[in-house]
Amino acid sequence: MSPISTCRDGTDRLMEYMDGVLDEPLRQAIDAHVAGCARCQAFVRSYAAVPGVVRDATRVTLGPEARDALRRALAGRRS
Amino acid sequence: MSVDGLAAAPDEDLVARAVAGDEPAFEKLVERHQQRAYGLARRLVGNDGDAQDVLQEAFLSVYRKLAGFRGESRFSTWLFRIVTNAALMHLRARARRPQEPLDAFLPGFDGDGRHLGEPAEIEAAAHAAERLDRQALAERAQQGVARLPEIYRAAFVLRDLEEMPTAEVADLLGVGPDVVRQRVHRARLMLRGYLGDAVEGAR
Ligand SMILES: [Zn+2]
Repeated sequence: MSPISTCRDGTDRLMEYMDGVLDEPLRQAIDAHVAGCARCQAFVRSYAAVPGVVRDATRVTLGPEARDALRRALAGRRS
Repeated sequence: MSVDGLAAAPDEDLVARAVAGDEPAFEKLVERHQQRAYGLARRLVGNDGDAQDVLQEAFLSVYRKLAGFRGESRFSTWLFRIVTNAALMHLRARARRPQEPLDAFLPGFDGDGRHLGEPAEIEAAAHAAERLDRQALAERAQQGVARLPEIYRAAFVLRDLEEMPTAEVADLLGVGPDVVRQRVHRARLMLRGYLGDAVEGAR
C-alpha cells in the first residue's frame, strides 16, 4: 500500500513536500493522491496561500519619527 | 572613510569599524537594518509600541556585543537572532493574559482520513485577500499570528514572513530543520483555518 493513502497522510507531509525534502516515492504518492482529490487540491491552494497573505497583511514601515526616536535612544545610552 | 564609502561598505567592514570605535559606522549599520529588524519585531510582538522598545533593546544589545560577533553567520542573521530573543523576552516579561489557542482551526478529517467540508470551504483561506477588506484582513492576520503558540510564531515569522531559508531559521532558533518545518507547518495549518473562517463568515 502507498504510504500516502488518505488526505490526512498527504496533509501531514505538506510542509516537507513544499520544502523539497521528501523522498521521490513519497512525493509521487502525494502527487497521485492530490491529482485525483478535489478536496486536497483546494487544501493545497489554501495552505500555500497562507505565507503570502499573512506577509502582505502584516507589513509595516518604520516611520521617520520612530527612526529619530531610535537614533536618539541609541546615542543617549551608548555614550 | 567618506559618507559614500560607508554607504557602499559591506556589513562586515562596518562591524569592524564600529568595534574600533567608529560611531558613524555603527549608525550606518542601524540605518541599513532598522526597517527589517522593526518588521520582524512588530510581527513577533504584535504592536508598534512594544516593537519600538524591542528595536531599541536589540540595537543596544548589538552595540554591546559587537566585539563578540565573529562572522560565523551573516551580520543580518546575527541581528535577527538578537531581535528575536529580545522580542520573546519582552513577551514573557509582559505576561499578557493567555490567548485562546487556534487548535479549533486545525483541519478536520473523517474516520477514513478524508478532508471534511466541500472544496469551496476548504479553499476559503486562498481568497482572503479578495474577499476581506484591507483593514479586516490586517486585523485578522495580526490576531492570528499573535494567537500562535510562541515557538510556532517565531518559526513561522522567520521562515514564512521574513522568508529566511529553513536551515537559517534552524540555526537561529537552535533547533534542527525538521523541528522548524514541523512548527511552521502547524502555524500554517492554524492560520489557514483562522483566515478561512473569516472569509466564510464574510460571505
Ligand atoms: Zn485528498
